[in-house]
Amino acid sequence: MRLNLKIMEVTGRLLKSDRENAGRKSSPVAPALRVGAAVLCILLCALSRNAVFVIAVIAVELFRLALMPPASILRVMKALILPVMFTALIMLPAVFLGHPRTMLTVTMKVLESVLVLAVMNESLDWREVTAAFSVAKGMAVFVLILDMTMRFLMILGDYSDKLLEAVMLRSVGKTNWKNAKVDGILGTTFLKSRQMAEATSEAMACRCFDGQYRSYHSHRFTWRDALFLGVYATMIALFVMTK
Amino acid sequence: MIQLEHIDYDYQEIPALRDITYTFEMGKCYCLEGPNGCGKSTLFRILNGLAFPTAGRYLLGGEAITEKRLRDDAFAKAFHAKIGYVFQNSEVQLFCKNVEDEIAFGLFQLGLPEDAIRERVEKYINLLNLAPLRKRTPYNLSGGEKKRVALGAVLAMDPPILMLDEPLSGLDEDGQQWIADFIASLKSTGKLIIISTHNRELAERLADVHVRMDKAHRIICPQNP
Repeated sequence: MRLNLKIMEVTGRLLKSDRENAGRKSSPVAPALRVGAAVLCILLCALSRNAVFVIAVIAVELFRLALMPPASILRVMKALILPVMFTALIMLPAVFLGHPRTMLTVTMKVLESVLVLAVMNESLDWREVTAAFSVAKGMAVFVLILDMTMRFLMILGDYSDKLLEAVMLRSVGKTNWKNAKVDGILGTTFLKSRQMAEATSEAMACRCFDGQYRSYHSHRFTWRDALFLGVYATMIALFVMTK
Repeated sequence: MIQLEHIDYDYQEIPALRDITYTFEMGKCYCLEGPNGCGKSTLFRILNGLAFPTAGRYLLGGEAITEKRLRDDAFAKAFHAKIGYVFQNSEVQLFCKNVEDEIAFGLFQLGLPEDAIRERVEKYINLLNLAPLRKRTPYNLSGGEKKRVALGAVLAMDPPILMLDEPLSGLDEDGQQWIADFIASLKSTGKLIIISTHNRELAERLADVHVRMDKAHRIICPQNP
């Protein structure tokens, strides 16, 4: 029961995020570049033994954060507080043992990693993140499966939500049968999922699907991409110089 | 040309089609009409190679379409490239991450070069007024928009035969009008169009031939040629 509620909560969140982002413009910089840069940043910061590089990355990310709308800044800050505070607390004994720099370095690295991910999460839609992986050859079909799984989760989440609403509307007062009806809802949702999966597989066959899939990318390399690459090339150079 | 010869189909011994003998000719628009459960959707499934008759023969361009032949991937691909099928429920037909990817899906499967794919995607995005929706996820679109995307995805593959299962179902008046006008504009392309519908107005407007089925799962009008 709890697991079902958790799944519905997750699908609900995805649906909400989808509706909120429905009219949002897509990222001006190629998502693949942004995801790649984020992963590279986290990796380099983890390898870095010099605070200068970590501080430089934090500075760049804070600059990008400052250009975001207030609501986004608030969400990113909320995501940052808990892991940074937790790390600082965990590392606090290091200060008393005479290694205050260790505490500072680790906390900064955690701050940098979470900040990079939170800024990326705020500015990229989840579909853009998955699409970023489809740039790699052979990965596109996995991304298609992932996207379809998410889509089915959402559609079925929505469907079971409507069934629950129907049960709620027919329920008056405290009754035991409401709990029993959850099984019925799950069963119906399962049957619906099977029907939809079959129909989608037929639709794919009708459009000549042979197991191979290539994602369509209308994004062309622009000056924004070049600028973005330039910033990250500078950071890599900084990492090499400060090593 | 599609030829059906004495087609029978049963769902676990429950009859769905009985003695269907009919010829669909290229360049004509056929409206398949009949009550619920008369077998229209089953006939569409057979015509699309998604189900196989329990008796009788189905020929497309003189070639017999059988389960065995469709197991051959190359044959199946060539067969499906000839028939564009727009499902009644567009939701199950749209599975890509955004509208332009949806339209490009079939074109990639046909192995067209990148430039040709780009050109066709742009053409159908403009033709179906999908430009503002191109980066949107199909399942977040309205019913009418989904139907337009499904049509675009199928038409972009340029199939000589087009089948539409209840194309107006679930659409508001404007949406119905738009889709009806669009299908009417397709009639001049020389494609064979088969539409399954309950909508008399649509059938009267579009059909060159009205094909009526009855509760006994037979074609009653026009009589088998």
